[in-house]
Amino acid sequence: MERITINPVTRLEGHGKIDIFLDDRGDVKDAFFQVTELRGFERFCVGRPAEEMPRIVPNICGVCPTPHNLASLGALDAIYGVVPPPTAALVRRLQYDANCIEDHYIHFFFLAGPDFVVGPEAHPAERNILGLISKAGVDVGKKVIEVRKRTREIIQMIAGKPAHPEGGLPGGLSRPIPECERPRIIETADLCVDFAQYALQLFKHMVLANDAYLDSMLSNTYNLQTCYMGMVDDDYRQAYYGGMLRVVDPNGKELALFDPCAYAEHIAERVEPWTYIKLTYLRKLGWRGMTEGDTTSLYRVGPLARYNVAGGMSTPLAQKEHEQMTAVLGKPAHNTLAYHWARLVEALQAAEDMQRISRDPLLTGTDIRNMNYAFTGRGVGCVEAPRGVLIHDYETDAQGLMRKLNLVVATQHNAAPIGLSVKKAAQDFIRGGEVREGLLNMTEMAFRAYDPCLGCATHTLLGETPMKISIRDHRGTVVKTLERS
Amino acid sequence: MSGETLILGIGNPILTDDAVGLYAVRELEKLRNQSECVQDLLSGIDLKEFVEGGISFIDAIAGYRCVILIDAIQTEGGMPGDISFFCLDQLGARPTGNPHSVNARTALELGRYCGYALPEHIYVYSVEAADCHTFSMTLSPVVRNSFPVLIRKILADLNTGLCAVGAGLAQVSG
Repeated sequence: MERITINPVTRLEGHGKIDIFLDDRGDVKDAFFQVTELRGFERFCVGRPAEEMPRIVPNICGVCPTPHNLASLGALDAIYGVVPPPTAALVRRLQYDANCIEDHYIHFFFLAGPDFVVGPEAHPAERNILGLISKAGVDVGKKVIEVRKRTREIIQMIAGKPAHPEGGLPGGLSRPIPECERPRIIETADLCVDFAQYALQLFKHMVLANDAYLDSMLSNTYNLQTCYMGMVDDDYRQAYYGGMLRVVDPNGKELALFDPCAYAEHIAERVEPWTYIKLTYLRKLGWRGMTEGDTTSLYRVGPLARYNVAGGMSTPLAQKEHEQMTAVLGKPAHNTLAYHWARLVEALQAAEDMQRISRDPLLTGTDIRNMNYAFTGRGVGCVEAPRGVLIHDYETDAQGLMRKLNLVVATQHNAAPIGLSVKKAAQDFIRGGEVREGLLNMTEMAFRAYDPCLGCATHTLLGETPMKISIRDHRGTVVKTLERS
Repeated sequence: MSGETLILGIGNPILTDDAVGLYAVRELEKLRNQSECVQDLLSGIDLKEFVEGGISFIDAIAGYRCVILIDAIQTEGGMPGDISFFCLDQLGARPTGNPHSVNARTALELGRYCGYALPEHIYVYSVEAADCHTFSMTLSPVVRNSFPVLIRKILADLNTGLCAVGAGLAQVSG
């Protein structure tokens, strides 16, 4: 029988598409990173009751469903002028922690880990989770799956479905957590703290103790001097929602500290002809081009940015790890590959926070919703998604029907810096129009550190998300295409 | 889990044709409630919707002997609305890391590696999508036209014995 092979382009063409532009000498001039454009979201939402938004927005992207759900709930609270009772706030935080742990480990073990553990030079067929397991042992795979399963149970308990959480109402929750669920939550939290420490040990053993990998992390290729934006609490420790947004310049000096509601005063957008992503920059500094260094108005978000804007972590074990990072990298750290390290420290903080919440008597309280509405018709919700600042801005009519919305997602904040990081990695491999071996691997490592959300990355069950690099000459003509699929 | 076989509709419910797998299992469920004949055909078969990807796939299918996926697909040169039926191991996609997740074959290999009881047979009904990028809860006209064909084909294949069909690749136009 003739064998027929099906080759999905990908179910949703979720390409990590990169355009590299050369100057007239054939050296790298610019690079742009693009993700799939999904159309018509505003049209889809306008006219719907605002209360539907927390159930709709997790469907935008299967990578950040819980942060979208929580940012949306924050916007709804503001539209209805209510503050959730302490139990509801605690449960939302538990949901956030569970998602943070799951998300960070998926990224580290499935994407970043293979680069380091299997090796950046390894064949792509081996540079994956299976390759990692064959090096680090099958127990690692089992632990990752178990931690993921248990954290998703918690999200399901709170929000109905882990993939597309549906829970949450303006002013609180739809149902309390019964006391009988507490032992399982405690058990999961303890498991996560143990695993978080194990993951950091693995990172130190496999990456930091390897001179070549450490050199890579500290190299100029993966160093990008930008400003940073992230959320902090009243004590300037890392916060994930309910805090202020802090911006520091490339030297660590504070440029702004603002309520997320005022985001439009601080963040501006710019349209470039080569990408449909609107590039963001710091409004007060003005657009200064795709540049790094002291004069840049570009900023980064995500784990490395949170490390740079905050004075420390909010839990003891994570604080110790934060201090170790500072001892090696200093602060601010501009080492793009250190995103991975910061990610693992954050997962530990989330696990410790979950441990604390799991034992808090308030967790199973029954005062879960504040319905003393003072309708405003406008609301901004902001959370730190695992990959960076996520803002939902809604406006409704007097009946609470959606009239306008604006979403600013992490990959948009990071789009220009990702382009710059790719440019720096590419500069080592493209000279005088000649492209050396290794360009794909090294540029992949540069953009992967940001954990960019390709809108549809989770919908590639049958296929995979290929990466495509187009190299264009100084006239914009494609002279070479590199593709991994 | 009540049966040995699972029909799993996959997709994003608000991205036009991407939801075709979800609509298909809803339609099968509806027919099962309306017709004794369909009830017989679907006897011992679980119907479920699946809105994600990655290693959650392991959780969704673990414990079943046979799994039938219904999903939207985009192939090189594929005609929107075309319906294909194939075994999962006929997929060209290799086990490799996606930006943020893994495909079905990687998830399966990982699950088997870690000792999960995973199905011996996984078949796929795929519908070539016209539009998976626009937010909408309605199928595109061309996929909507194929939809009844898809349902009839699934029921007909169940009637004739899926495994016999699964030995080769069958393709029909929508």
